[in-house]
Order: sequence, then C-alpha cells, then structure tokens
Amino acid sequence: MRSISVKRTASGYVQATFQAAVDAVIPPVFQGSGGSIQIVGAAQLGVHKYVIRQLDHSQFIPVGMPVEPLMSLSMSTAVMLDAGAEELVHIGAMTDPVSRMLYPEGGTFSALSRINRLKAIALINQLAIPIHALPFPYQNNPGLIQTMMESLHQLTMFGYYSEWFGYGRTRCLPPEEQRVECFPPGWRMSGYPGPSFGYRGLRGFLLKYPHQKGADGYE
Amino acid sequence: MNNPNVIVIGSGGGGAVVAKELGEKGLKVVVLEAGPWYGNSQWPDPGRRGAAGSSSSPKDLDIALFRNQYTKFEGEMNDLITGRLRWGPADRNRPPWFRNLSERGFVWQVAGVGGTTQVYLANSPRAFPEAVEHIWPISYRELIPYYEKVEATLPVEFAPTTAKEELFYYGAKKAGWPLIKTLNVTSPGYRPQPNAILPPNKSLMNPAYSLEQLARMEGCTLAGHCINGCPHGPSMDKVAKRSTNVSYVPLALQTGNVTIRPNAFATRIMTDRHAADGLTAIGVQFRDTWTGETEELRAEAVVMAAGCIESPRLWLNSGLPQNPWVGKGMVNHYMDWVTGLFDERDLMSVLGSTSTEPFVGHTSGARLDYPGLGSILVTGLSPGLTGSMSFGLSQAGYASHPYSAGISAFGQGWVVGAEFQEWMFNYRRTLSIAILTDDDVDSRNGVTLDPMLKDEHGSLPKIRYVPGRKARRNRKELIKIAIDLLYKAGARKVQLSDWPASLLIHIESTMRMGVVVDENGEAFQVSRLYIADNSVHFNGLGGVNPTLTTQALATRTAEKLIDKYFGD
Repeated sequence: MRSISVKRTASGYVQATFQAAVDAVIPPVFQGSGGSIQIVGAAQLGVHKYVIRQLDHSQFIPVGMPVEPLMSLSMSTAVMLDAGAEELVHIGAMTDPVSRMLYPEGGTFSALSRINRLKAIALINQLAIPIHALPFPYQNNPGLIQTMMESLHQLTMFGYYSEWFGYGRTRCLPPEEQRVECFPPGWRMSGYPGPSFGYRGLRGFLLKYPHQKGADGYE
Repeated sequence: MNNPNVIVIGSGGGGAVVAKELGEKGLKVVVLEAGPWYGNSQWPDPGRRGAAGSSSSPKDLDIALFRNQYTKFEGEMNDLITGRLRWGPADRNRPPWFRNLSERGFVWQVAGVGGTTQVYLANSPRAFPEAVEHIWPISYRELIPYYEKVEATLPVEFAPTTAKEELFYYGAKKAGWPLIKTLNVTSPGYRPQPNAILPPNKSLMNPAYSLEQLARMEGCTLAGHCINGCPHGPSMDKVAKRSTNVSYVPLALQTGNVTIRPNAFATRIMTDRHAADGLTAIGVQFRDTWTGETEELRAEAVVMAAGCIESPRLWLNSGLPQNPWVGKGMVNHYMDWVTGLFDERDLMSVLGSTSTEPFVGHTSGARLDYPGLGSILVTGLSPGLTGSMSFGLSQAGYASHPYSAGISAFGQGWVVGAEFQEWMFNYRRTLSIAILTDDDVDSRNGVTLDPMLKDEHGSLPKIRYVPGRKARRNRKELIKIAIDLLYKAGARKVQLSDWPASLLIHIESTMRMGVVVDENGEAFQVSRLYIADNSVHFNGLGGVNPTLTTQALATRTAEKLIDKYFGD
C-alpha cells in the first residue's frame, strides 16, 4: 500500500482523508428550487472528527492478539479509501484532475474531486479493488469492507443530523461528559424541534382494541 | 441472590416475562443481565462503577433518575457505538461488544435491563395464524390465551392517529386495501398498530396542562421518542412505552421473589449428569463486566433468554451436546425501507396541515399486513436516524446516480450531496415505510462459533444471513405495495433504501422449538435448561414483529417449567 510522506503526520493524514470523505457525502452546497446555495457542509461542522472517533472507539481487539502493531481502524479505513482512489486512477475512470490544494496532508483519495471520491467509494463497495492487499481488518474481508462503506455514509449523516454538533465544548469529551450546549444546524436544516415532552397531535382513533376476544376473526 | 430456584439469563423481551411469571408463583429467581440498569437508585450513575451488585426491590426504581438518563437525544441514546442503548458494557468509554458478520450489515440489539425492548417500537401484533397452524409444534389456538394475557398485562392498545398515520391510511384506502379489525390476521389489509404503549393522556389536547406536566402524568404524550427510549410517565411502572424495564420488571420485583443482577455476562451453562434426567443444567457461570471476575451461581433450573445470537453462542461455548440446529435456521424478515416526499399543497388537502410530522406520535402507529408476504409499517424517526437509515444504508450503493446503472421509476440506494440535503430539508414532508418480509428458515443462516476470534466472554459468534428465493420475491412484492401506497397518498418522489439483508433487527429461530427445545421450551438434550427468547420461534411468524409472540411463549414456558419441576 501507499506509504505516508514524512512531511505528513499519521493523524493529519487520517483527518484529511475523512474530511474529504464526509465532504463528498454532505458537501457545503444545497440544491433548492431557486438553484444551488451554499450551506454548512459536514466537513465544516467537523463531522469527520465524529466519524474517526466512533470508528476507533468501535475497534475490536481480539483477546490474545498483540495490540502494539495494530493500526487504528480510522487509519486502515483511510488506507482503504486511498486504495479505492488509486484503483480509480489505475482504470482510467477519473473525470477531473487531482489536486492536493484542499487537503495537503491527505493521500490520493483526498486529492480527488467530490464526484471522483464517490466513485472511489463505489469501487470499494463493489469490491473492485485488490482486497488481498488491504491492511487488517479489511484484508480479504468483503463483508466488513462493505459494512464500512455503509458506516461512512451512516455516521456522516447521523453526525450531521443528530445532536452531536450541539455538544459544543463537550464534543470531544468522553460520552458520559457530553452535554448539549446549542441547537445543532442539522435540526434547523431539517425543521426538527429537538426532544419534546409531547405534541398535541391527536387526530383520533381508527379502532378500539378488542381485549379478551380470543380467536375472534379466526375460524 | 443466593440459592435461587431458577436463573434467568437476560432481562429483555422474554427474560423479564419469565421472571415475573415464576416470581408470582413463589419461585426465587435471579436474572443475570449483561448491560446496565437505567432508572434504578442502586446505580445512580450506571456508566460509572458503583458499589451495588443487584437489586430486588421495586422501591429502587426511580423515575426522576430515569428521566435524567433517558434524555431523548438520539446521539446520546441510539448511537450504536457510544450510545446508552447499545450492545456493550455499561462503561461507555469501552467499545461495544463486537459482532462478526459474514455479510454487510449490523446487529441492532441492546444490552441492559429491558434488553432491546428499550429501543423497540412496541409494535405487538400476533403471528399470522397461517404461519403457525399445522407448522409449529404447537397450534395457533394454543397461543391465544397467552397472547391475551400479555396483551392485558403490558397492555397492548391500538395506536392513536397522528398526521403520518392519517396519510398512511389515506394511501392504503386509495390503493384499495380494506381495514382489518381482528388481531388474528388471515387476509390482507391495513390497521392501527397494536402497540404496547399506554393510551394518550385524556388531557393531552387540553391547553390548561403544559406538555411538561403531561409528560409526568400517565399516558402517551405523542412525543415520538419510542425508538430513542421513552421516559414519560409518573413512575417507572407507568412509563408510556412498555419496554420490559417499565412493565414486566417492576411486576417481577413486586413479587418479592426476583433479584436482578445487571453488569453480569453469562459465559457458561454448568451441567451435571443425573441418573434419572441425564445431562442437567445446574447453574451459570458469569463474568462481572466491571471487575472482570468470574462467578458461579447454582439453581434448580436455568432459562436462557439472551437473544438469538447469545443463546446459541452460550450453548456452543458451554460445550453442550451437538445438535445440528443449534444456532441454525435464523430468519430476519429481510427488511427494507421506502420514503416518500410530499408537496405542501397535497398534504394540506389530505391532512389539513402542511407537514407529515414524522417525529410526532408513536414511532410506528399503523401497518398493512399481508399473510403470505409480510407487513409494511409507517415509521417516523428523529432526523439523524432518518438520514442514516433512509439514505445511508443500501446494498445497492449509488444505484440511482447517473454514473451507475439501475435507475427506475423510483430512486434506489445511497443518496448523497445536494440530493440528500434536499430530502433532509424536506424531512417534515416525508413519510417512511418499513418493510418486514416473510422469509424462510434456511439451515445455512445463523450463528456459529468463530474458530479464531475471542473476546472476554469466549469464542465470538459468527453470523450469516442470506435471504432465499421466497424472501427476495416477497420483499419485491411488499416494496411494490409500499411504493404504490405512497404514490396513492400523493408522494411526488419515492426513494427505496434497499437495505442490506444482514441488517439484523428481527432476529428469530436460532434455537427452534421442535428441534432444539421441545414444545414447552425445554432443551431436548439438557434437562432443566429452558429457552425463552426469539430464538425458539419455529419460523418468522409470517413477517410480523416478534416480541409479543416471544412474550406469549415466555408466559407459557414459565407455566410449563413450574408444572414439571416445581409442581405439588
């Protein structure tokens, strides 16, 4: 697999790669009826930090396995995204030029245009990359590779539209210490009012429950 | 906690029911639960290590504490990795317990007192009679009195109508489906969800009461937090959504005979060979998830209610006798999800308002049942779950993108970028429908032990679910019905998620009645070992939500266990 240039730090590389990934899923643009408008995208909200954190928190370390040489799950996922990007380049399916301007610390994946990043994800999702050359735990593990492609989307969307951004200064604290400090932009975007004590939304009842009617209706 | 008559493993949909039924008959019961206990004053901070071991008093149940812990924030509650309602230890600084799937997907199960019923939608339909009669080792009629008992105890009531149910009924009616009024469904039609949720407070529409006041009184307030964990009610035993931690658990504690030990992960069934009974369960080995210490507890009988993955794993990790059906035959309703987008004007003409209000009312308050195919359920989730489950989860990938083939009359697959934002911007004008498919028992699907990987509780379960031809055909038909209903209701655009098959929510049939356990729930090969969770279902009930049937069977199993081993 690719080696990381000495000028880049491992965490800078992971950050840049995930920033590029969440930015492709939720970019800072919205297509309204009056044309496209700028909005705050997932990368601007820092949703990549949430995705990285959740992945690394979920990492399974089997009992009896040496922990030391183990790559973090976010790192092995970043390497996999680059493998998808390199395959896209290799098969000549890239539609835009690469640019390292946006994410200088990233690898091939983060140098791709948004649409090409999605294409790279699609290639990985189709297992159309050399999966034998991926790092642990993805190596020859198609179910997990595809699950991670789902998770990239799901976590980005959940991070953006749940209360996560609203944790404010407690965003990076352990789960028991997080507190909602502000109304997250995703709620404003979607019109969700936040948790509620209730709604006066009762429109009546269609049927009354037939308690103790036994085999009623079943002959 | 010493010398109980019976040990129950798991306090979810089945375990809590068994504990209450046995306790009521005077048996001493200890329930071992792997996860935390929310709303119990013995654990004021369940995420941090405390001094308490177990609790057996209803006085320990504390609604004020429960309200603080069940915060209704979907990230804090539902996040599968760090949320309170996850499959993992009480200490959320530790990772969740790993699930090893052979196909893409994930398992949505919850540890903790109440188990997965903490997040279930409380949908409580009976099985389709045709899926049980002449197929199961027991008849559908045999189940009816147990259904009735559970329906009265929880209780189950038909869901009230809010905007999303009204729109669903409108679409169903326009599509030509009849209203079905019976609980024993033999022909297709739509109906309100039979939900284990208390009826709305009679003063809900009276502005003299604030909503905060109402949320502290008895009755549902239509707050829409069923899936996030419902904390509304005057006391723990009167919380509106009837997860077992607020229904059967308080009833079990009130018997004075039941002790529940949270943070206790069962790792081995202990057995002995008796001259008369053969191989016999004599106790359980378990691991304290805080201290890591292993303990043993002995009893005259053991009931496994650890769920469809852990019950077979426990059997296999305990080295219990070979049985080709242990862990095998798993069904999962090959689920899917369809979302429709509506115009304000169209909504106004049907509903008299411009929004479907997906976050109002029961999370799922109406359904259409089709014996032979399965069911479809109107469902409204909070926005993070809506985004991730409607648009971020698909075995089709980017099927509807111009650079990928597969576009048809409706969109399909992941939705990203500006199109995703457009859907979410219109969240309040969407209507989602969950699809539950009648799938087939296939011995290749299920749980085996991973030959290599272990966690602190032993060899990991390896899980496989690949739907067969019948499931694929049935799901296709149900998708057509759901899409047609949405268009008939006025949807302008419809999106099919095409969920991965191994999204495991309605897992059943991994320890089936008739092959692993007898018709009374006792293991054929191990005396005094019973099973009382979804795993004993002979099949997927025809494609309806499994919990009520598990609870009816658990009621019956408790009765049979007493008759056999504790009768006069």
